[in-house]
Amino acid sequence: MEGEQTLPVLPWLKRLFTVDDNVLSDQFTLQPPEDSQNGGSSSGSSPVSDTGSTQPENSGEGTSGQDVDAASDAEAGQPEAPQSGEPDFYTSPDDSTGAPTGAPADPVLRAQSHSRKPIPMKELVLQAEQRREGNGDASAPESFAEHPGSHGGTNKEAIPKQIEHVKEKLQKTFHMPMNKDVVIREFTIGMPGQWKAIAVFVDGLCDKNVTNLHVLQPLMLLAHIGEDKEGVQNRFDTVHDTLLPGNQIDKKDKWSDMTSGILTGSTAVFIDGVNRGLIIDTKGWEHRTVGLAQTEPVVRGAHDSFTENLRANTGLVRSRLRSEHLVTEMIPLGKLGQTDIAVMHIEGLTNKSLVAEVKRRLTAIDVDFIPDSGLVEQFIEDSPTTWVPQLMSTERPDRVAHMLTEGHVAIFVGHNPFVLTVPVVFWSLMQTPEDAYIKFPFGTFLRLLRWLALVTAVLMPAFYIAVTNYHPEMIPTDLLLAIAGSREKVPFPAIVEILLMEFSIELIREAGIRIPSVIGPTIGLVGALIIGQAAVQAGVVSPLLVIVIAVTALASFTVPNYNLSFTVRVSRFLFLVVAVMFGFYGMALLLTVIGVKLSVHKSFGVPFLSPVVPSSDSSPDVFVRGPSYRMNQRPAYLLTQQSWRQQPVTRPWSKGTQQGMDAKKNKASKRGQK
Amino acid sequence: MSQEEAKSKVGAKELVAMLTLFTSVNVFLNYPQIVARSAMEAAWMEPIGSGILTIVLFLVVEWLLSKYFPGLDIVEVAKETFGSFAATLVAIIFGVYFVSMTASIMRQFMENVMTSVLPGTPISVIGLLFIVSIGYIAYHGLEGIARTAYFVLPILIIGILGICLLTMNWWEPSELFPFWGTGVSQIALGSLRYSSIFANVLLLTIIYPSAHDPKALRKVGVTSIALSALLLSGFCAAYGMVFPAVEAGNVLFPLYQLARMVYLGHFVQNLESVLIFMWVTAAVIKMAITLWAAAYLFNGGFRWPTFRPAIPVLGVSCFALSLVPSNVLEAEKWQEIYLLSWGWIIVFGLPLAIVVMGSILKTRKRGKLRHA
Repeated sequence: MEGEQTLPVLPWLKRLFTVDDNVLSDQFTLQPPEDSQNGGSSSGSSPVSDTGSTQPENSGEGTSGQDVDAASDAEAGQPEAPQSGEPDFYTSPDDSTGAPTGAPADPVLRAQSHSRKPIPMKELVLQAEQRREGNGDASAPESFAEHPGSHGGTNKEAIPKQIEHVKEKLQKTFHMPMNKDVVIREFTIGMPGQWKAIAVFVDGLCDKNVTNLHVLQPLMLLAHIGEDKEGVQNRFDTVHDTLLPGNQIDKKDKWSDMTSGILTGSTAVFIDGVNRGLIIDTKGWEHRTVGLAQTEPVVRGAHDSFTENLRANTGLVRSRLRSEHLVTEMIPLGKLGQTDIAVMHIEGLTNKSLVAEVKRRLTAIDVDFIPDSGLVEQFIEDSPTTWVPQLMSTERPDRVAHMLTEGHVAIFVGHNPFVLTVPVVFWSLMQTPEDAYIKFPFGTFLRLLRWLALVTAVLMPAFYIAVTNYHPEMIPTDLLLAIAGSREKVPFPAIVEILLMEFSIELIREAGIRIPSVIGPTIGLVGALIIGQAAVQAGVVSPLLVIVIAVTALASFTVPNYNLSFTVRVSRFLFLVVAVMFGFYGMALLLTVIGVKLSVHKSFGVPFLSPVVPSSDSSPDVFVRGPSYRMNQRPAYLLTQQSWRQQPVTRPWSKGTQQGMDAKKNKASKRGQK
Repeated sequence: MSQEEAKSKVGAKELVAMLTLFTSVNVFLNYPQIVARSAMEAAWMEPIGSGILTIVLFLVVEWLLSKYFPGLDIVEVAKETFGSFAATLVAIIFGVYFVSMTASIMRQFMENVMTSVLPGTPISVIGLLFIVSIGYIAYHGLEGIARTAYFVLPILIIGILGICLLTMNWWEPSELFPFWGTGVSQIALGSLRYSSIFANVLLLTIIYPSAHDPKALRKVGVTSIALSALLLSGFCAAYGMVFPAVEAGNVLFPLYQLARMVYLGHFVQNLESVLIFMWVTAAVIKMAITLWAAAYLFNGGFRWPTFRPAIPVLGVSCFALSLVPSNVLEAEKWQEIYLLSWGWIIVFGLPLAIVVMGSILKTRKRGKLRHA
């Protein structure tokens, strides 16, 4: 009750003792596609009809080892809207204690809740107070959408007819004349000028040549307007249909649509006497051209990467994946400044519940501004407290195109060069496109090397500490004496040495990002000399430790995924701590705990360690890279609408294939004879 | 049963891994020592005998469950057959057995860690780390345990086989003769007496509703029992070839001692420390299974809405119970006398009795209905 003070209880501890079935309930679990037959898309055409071997499978049956959370989250991800007038709680008439039962207040969770759970009286009173406040004062944070004078105003505002009113409204909306970015160009349409009009654009966002040559010039100089016999409304259609040569012109009725168009770099045209407007695509701000991939370079493979332009990015993917079934849905996010989020998937292939879940999580983001895909990632990932990345962020268009064909969903966040793809499994984070582009034995070699590097990067310093402190018997005697000799002069314990060196490496890594490229190599050389050689000669660290740290740093740089490399960097310290306290015993326990955590973790409904655990059918592309001609089926854990992506026999001309097929025929004939 | 556990389903491969690991972990404990004392040179036969017996009983129980009690676990079968009170009693018996097993294993592993890794660390600290890890894993339920077991099993198999093969230079095949050791009757008696390590029958009756495909359970059970028996037998054979029969029955930590014998040159020696990763991981998973099973059984018997709040409680109880024996010898003695020698009654006898009696009663009921 009010005024009563309770002891603060840690949330995780409280949850431990809460008698609640849904303590560990999943937010979302990927469900098998509803229609797994050919032509599952609404258009009726199959996206993979060219293969001729489409053998859709009911994914729920074929994989006997696949865990399925059968009863929970059977919906397609769309939350039920709370019914109007339905209270958040109800009191059971037979409940003698008077304790009411209730559903979760969150409408999203309410749709997924299958049980009425008892809530304490305190919470009930709090809910009642919040409802009273909500009816009166604004309890929710102030939203720019409802703020008077905000951009666009409300969605229902119409466009004024009089051109003077339009100009006034523009000045009020864009805070002019204080705001110098927005330009209002008044002119008359036609020779001789008959219709007054206004062109509005943002200086710096639009291509002025396009505005001058393809908007103003046709309207001002090249248009011959006769007598306005058919009325004012005809002006609008005349301008749209015959005078403006732009390839993308939209007619708009609402003021908010016009302002949104202006803010995206288009030119808006208002005509006197018409309560509608035209938005002509004239986007053309300065942006970086397509360049090399900064974080995912390869030797064999494409070198282009995404850039700071949404349409350029979607174009890079479309230029590779030329399919009429590739769909891009736009979701604008942000109340103060809108950011266009493009959700790309292949209609008829991608699991519909996955697409719906992605859109559900995106539309739930209610913020002022989204500057980067990293923020979107934090908003929509399953578990923000888990250290491993739960979405793949990549700057490679070829990778996005390939993942779309596998059944993933791509999320482009505004003009950001990193594109998110969901869902992700742990094994994908250690793969690079180059593994597929080179011959499969070498691709396998690279992957195995990378796995070894991952283990080295996470465990090597901890291993060194554990061996030197707790298990010296593992080291051969000569080596042990050499290590002991080298450490004789060092005044610090091994853990202090390692922490000093690790700190130095982290400093170098962080500083290396911001060092000007002119002096970067010099600083690197100085840093290596000072930290490496001088520290050893001064007796601050032992030589073997320098080698350990250097190898660890090199190994951590082989991790292809940038987000995963942070996980590696931080986990390394965790293992160091347990190794120095408990040796191999502590490391083994921590490894097991991490393994369990990862095994139950999910990324958009897909278990994070699929297809290993839970085991499911998969092409040979998990730990190692198999031959491309055996990648016949899409990953089963994605539960795509079409599971086959290539013919089982893609090398019919090959001698080996012929021999194999002959052998199969002989076997079949022998069985038939028997 | 709670909604969460009613919904969790585990695939066949994960179940095989879990059940195999559950039994094979005994290779890290004093089981090889016990069977060596029991059968001497024929110690490797006892796991096979126990395995065959377990397979037969498993098939019987599985057949009865699938025919008469589809989708029910042992507590629900007892409830349906004998009523709620009997179901609670059955749950308590099984739960206490699993708690005892957890405590016993925990004590042995704690002593093992103290001896081999952390001689200066208090046993309570080691136990605390154990119980926190076990509790965390058990808290994630059967899915988490089974998936982790699937990961760990290959490492376990490679480790056991590796130890066996790396000591090939110490093998003396003549140590396996006389072939029948202490005699066929003693071997049979030992197989029966120490067959409680194969708790697959009991575990089957508990996890039956959680299997993704109940029809595959037969294959799961037979595969896991056979694999466990082969692993145990293979290790006992290698152990028997390295250490003489009398000496083999006196070694405290057989696998550790066998690992210490590895010497293949200057750099391949003293690998027992590397094995720590393997047996600590395997031990933690085994104890997570037993802790989870205890919580699950108590949950079913007392009709709690969920089992998770019981895990910390039971964990602390197991930890406290593990510290009751004054030393490791007493702990192993208690385990051998009480759990291993008489555990077959609980692991085989009680589930079999419940399921058989339940089937008979159900058959009679059906007969009465037909006549009516």
